[in-house]
Amino acid sequence: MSKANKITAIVFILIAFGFIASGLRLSFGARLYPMILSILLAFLGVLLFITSHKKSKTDNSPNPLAILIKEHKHFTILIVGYILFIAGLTVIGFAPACFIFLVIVQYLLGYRKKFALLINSAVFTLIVYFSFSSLLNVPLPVGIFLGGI
Amino acid sequence: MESILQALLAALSPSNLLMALLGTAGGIIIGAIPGLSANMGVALLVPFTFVMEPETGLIMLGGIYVGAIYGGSIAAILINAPGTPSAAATTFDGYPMAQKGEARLALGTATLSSAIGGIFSVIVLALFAPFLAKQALRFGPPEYFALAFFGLTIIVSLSENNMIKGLISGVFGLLLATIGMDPVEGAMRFTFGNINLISGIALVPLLIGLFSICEAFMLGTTKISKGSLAEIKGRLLPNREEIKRNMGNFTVSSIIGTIVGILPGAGASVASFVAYNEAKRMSKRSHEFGTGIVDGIVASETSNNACVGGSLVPLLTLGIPGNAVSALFIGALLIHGLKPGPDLFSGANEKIMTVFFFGLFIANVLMLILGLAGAGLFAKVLFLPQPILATYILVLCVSGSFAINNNMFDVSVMFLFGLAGLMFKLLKIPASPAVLGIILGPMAETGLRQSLLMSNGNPLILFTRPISFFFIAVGVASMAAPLLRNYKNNKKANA
Repeated sequence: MSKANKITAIVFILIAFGFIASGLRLSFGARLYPMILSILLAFLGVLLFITSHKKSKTDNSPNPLAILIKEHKHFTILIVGYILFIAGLTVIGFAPACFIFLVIVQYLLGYRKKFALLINSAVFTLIVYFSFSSLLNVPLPVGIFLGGI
Repeated sequence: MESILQALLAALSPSNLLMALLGTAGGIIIGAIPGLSANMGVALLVPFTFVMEPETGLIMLGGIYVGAIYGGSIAAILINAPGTPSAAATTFDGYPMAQKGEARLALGTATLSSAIGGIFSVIVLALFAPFLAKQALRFGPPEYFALAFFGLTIIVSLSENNMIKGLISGVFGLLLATIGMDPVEGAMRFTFGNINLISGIALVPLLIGLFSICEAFMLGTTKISKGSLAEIKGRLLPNREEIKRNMGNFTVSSIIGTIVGILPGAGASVASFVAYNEAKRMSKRSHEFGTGIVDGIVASETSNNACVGGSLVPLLTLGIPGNAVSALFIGALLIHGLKPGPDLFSGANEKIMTVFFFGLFIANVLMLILGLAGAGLFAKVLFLPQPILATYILVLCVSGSFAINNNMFDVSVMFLFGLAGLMFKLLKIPASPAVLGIILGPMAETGLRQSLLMSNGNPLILFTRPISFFFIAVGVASMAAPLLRNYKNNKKANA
């Protein structure tokens, strides 16, 4: 846990310095408040690093990120599938992207009833699509092939 | 009187009733599934409300909130896993009752208690919110800064388990809130030329990401053992003797829940434990608590649902979200151009609020009906394959985020904050302080800078005005208590 905490601390310190570096270009009034917060964030990051370092010798708690490795298959399927789904929205549109995402990801996650999988995915896609476009009057992306996003 | 009657009729209109029903039923389902919380349900459905009338949207969200807090008791009773953290105390007596073959009675008691607590808190909300909001009319920039400061001190109590991480999360949220146009000079800050960031990071996609995406990812990796589900049989409601015995318990737990709900930083989980302990302390049968008696369920379920109305009091009157769920209501209010505070209780908005209060009352009644009629049916959601459910949630996150402004940038924001939320969850960094920072950051900065402009740069203006001084003093006090407790605990641990 303490190793993960130290990495977390470094990430937040870097974020704080990112804000400080970008804020230097602003006028005094506009940068003062974010600068104070950035310095505070950097200070807290240093504090987290120091306390984690002190505890590192006695800390026997498991690595909190171990689940990402233990369940790497599920996380990879969900995250990669989700990125492809989001990317696919602008290309092929919501309805096809959603259907493909549901079928492939659910299958890869272990759902093996193929007929039910296809029917459930199609029904859910249609419900969401028509709920938004007809009931809520919110057009979802139709994809570049149909001339929209 | 006539306007109140009109508001009641409006709340009873078919569209409002339907949304209250859908919201409550959806909330019960979400609450019943361990791993899904009221935060997630409300975050996911906020975007759906923006095409609705403001009161209808708020009623639906209120229904989800009410239903989800109650729904947590179903899993707590049947599988000894609280569906929501606020139902943790319900497992103490709920699960033993289920094991004794009294699952149906436990579910019925939880339903009845939740409805009583919920209705009590709605009445308090309706009576006190307009009065409190009127006080905010006397607020100027120093008072608003002090109020935001007071609200931000909640971060300390939200972070008691790990103070540094909680503070990091809160300051990170405050920093994120500075992205966009500077509220005083109008300069662009940290936008990197991206026009989508001019008005800051969109709140709703951010909240959907932080609260819903990470829960869906985690849900994708968890499974529930079907073998441990208790059989639902026996009588449904407590008998006359049990109800008579618990009259004081109902009252005290309702009051505790409402007060804890009003207190910023506490919440339904705290309320249920406090009420449970109080009921045990007051009871003649205290030795039976934890062995499976209705009294324990009455205490925890009455108080956690009483928190719902209570937590909306500071939010609607002062713009201070008492917990993460009520913070999400800000998103819904902003979508409709409604600003928490005195404006909400004057002019046309007053009717919206009155209809909302009636809607919240109706949602509690619907929860009672749905719970008594179909708690067993709702329990079936425990059998849903969770990874499959996760994919449906992920789809709704995308459609909901896109729907706000019809742009893909918001979807990207949602996804990025989803990954951030996942890391926060795994690294045990509380996300609620970040949300609080994002919501209260602009109020704090604008109030502070305008106050300094008013006083030619003299910060004493914040301490010389009574209301401002009051909030700063209360804020310091509420910050000091958990810090002291934390210090003592650390000292004890090191000794």
